[in-house]
Amino acid sequence: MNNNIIELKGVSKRFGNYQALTEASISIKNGEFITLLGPSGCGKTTLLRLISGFEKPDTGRIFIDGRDVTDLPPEKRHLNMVFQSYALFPHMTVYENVAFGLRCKKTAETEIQKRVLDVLRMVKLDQLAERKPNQLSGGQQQRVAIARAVVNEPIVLLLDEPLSALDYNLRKNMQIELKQLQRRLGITFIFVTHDQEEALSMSDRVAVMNEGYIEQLGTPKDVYEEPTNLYVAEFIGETNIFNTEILEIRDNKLMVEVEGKRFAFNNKKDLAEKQQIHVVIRPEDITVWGENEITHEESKNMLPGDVEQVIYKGSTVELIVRLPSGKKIAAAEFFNEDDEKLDYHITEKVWIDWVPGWEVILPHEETI
Amino acid sequence: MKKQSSSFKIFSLSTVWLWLCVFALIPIILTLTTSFLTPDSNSIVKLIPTISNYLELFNPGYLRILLQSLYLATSCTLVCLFIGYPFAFIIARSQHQHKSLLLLLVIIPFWTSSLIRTYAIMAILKAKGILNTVLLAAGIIHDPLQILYSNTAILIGCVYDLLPFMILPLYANIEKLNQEYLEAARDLGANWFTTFFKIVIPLTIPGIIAGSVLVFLPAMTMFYVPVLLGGAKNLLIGNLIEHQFLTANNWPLGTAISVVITLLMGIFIIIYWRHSKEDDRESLT
Repeated sequence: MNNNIIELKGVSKRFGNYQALTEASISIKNGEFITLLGPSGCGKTTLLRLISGFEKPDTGRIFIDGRDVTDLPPEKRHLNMVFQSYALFPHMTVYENVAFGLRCKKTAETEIQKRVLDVLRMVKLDQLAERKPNQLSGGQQQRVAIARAVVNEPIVLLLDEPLSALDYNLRKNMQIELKQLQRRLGITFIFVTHDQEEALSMSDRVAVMNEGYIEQLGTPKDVYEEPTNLYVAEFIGETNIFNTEILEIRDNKLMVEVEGKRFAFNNKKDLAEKQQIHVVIRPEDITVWGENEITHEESKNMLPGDVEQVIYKGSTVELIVRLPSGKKIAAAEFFNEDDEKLDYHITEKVWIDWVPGWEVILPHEETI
Repeated sequence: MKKQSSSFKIFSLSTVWLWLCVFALIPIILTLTTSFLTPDSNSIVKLIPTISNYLELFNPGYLRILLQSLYLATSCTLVCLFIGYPFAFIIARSQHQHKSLLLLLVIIPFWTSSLIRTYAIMAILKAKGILNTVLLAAGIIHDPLQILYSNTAILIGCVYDLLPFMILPLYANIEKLNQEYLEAARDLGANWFTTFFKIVIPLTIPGIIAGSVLVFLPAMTMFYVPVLLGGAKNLLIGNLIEHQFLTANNWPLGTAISVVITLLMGIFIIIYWRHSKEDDRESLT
């Protein structure tokens, strides 16, 4: 037996004329915190609903703990879901809401009481057990929704954009709480979000989705630093993209011209000569040099430009640099003690470069 | 500009007040006043104040009619609820394009006078009517059913006339019921039965009460349905009032009955209103 708690094999789902999910295959390990990330309409919620059983796939099979559950209804699957709107029953108290699942399973009332109070204590709501949901704040309702799901001891907890209704600070706190809860319970969390920062900071692995496809599945570091295609590179974080072609390959180094200068890049993806490529560089990987910080010799491997915009952000300064071709480059410079000056002014002439090897080379894709 | 808008405000508000005075306040005052006057067969009323009209209502014959009317209105409301609830549920849960058609089918009978529709029911229920003809032809029964001119016929007529008043508020309530509640219940392991009785019914109580009030009140006072479908033998509150006005020519007694019925209904509505208010207050604290 493998230790995959959930396995999807070639699962597709269509609603009328709309292809919501195409041939999705994914294996989720026991105890993993996995995030389905993508814009609205990318199929992430459909994928979650297929796992929970609220939708039936058109093709493909779904396995939970090695068992084929494709044809099982939601109430027969040992998973629980936290809904985007929480869906707390408004006519029941917090206690009754949390006890609902156990009562459906005809658990003894004494055991229900013990388990409900335990889980309410865990989410720090034991004092509010007799309140109705609409007497609670958004963050408290969120905790009740989580308590109501985990009290059933599911093997997997599904969370459908559970933090999207909360304000920024509360969301940050709940992210940390959720992560701690997951470690404490040791169960698998499948978390849906459109917030890439949330996805990167919480997950063990992230599935980046787009138009019904899983574009990339990997650790946050993988999808950020080694995006497999242009979509992932652009969706996660800010990027600078140069479209160019491989002039020749020498010693397995790609000879490429970027904005009029020759560069030699590592060939990690077995690309061929004359192939069209994208060179992707993150703003924080770009270094910006003032005119008098570098020698003429050094500037030969750098791109010239003018500062067009300076955005001061406390710990960083974000610059927009316009290259001679008119292309605009985003760069983020971090403050540190031994660093040179960081007070750029608009129209200042600068030179930019980056540490060789930090760029990502992707084969050409038609962009819209 | 400001002056104009304030004069418009005065105009529109005074129109509403005028309307309410002419068509609600004055008739109520007239009714109340008449109920305290002495009946007179020549000039409708004599201007002698009395409470004898109200005392007369304690006559056991009238109390029997009141109980009978309450019984009919309650049965009618319950039957409407049992038929209307699944009906409203199906409409609210059907696909969008079917929804409008189904709602239209519920509303279309409204376009015809309910008196005419009651005659249609007569045509169906009478001894040689459509129902008996079909059942006899199909060999299901051998003697025609005697439904017309019975309490059953009155009930059928009332339910048929008032069913839309039950369906529409229920539909509005079920329609806006968040689908996620039902999914959450299933997710927590609830079967169809538990989901329906523990989640759907409690969350649609406002619709159930609104529909019941809308059916109960007219069912209490419908007078032509008992006359046409029940024959003259089943006298109900509505017939009693009609009888006092048109046949016995005793307007003060007729208005006294109307006032008592209005108060009775008013008490029902106030109880419901206070109850729902309490729920709101509770949820705010």
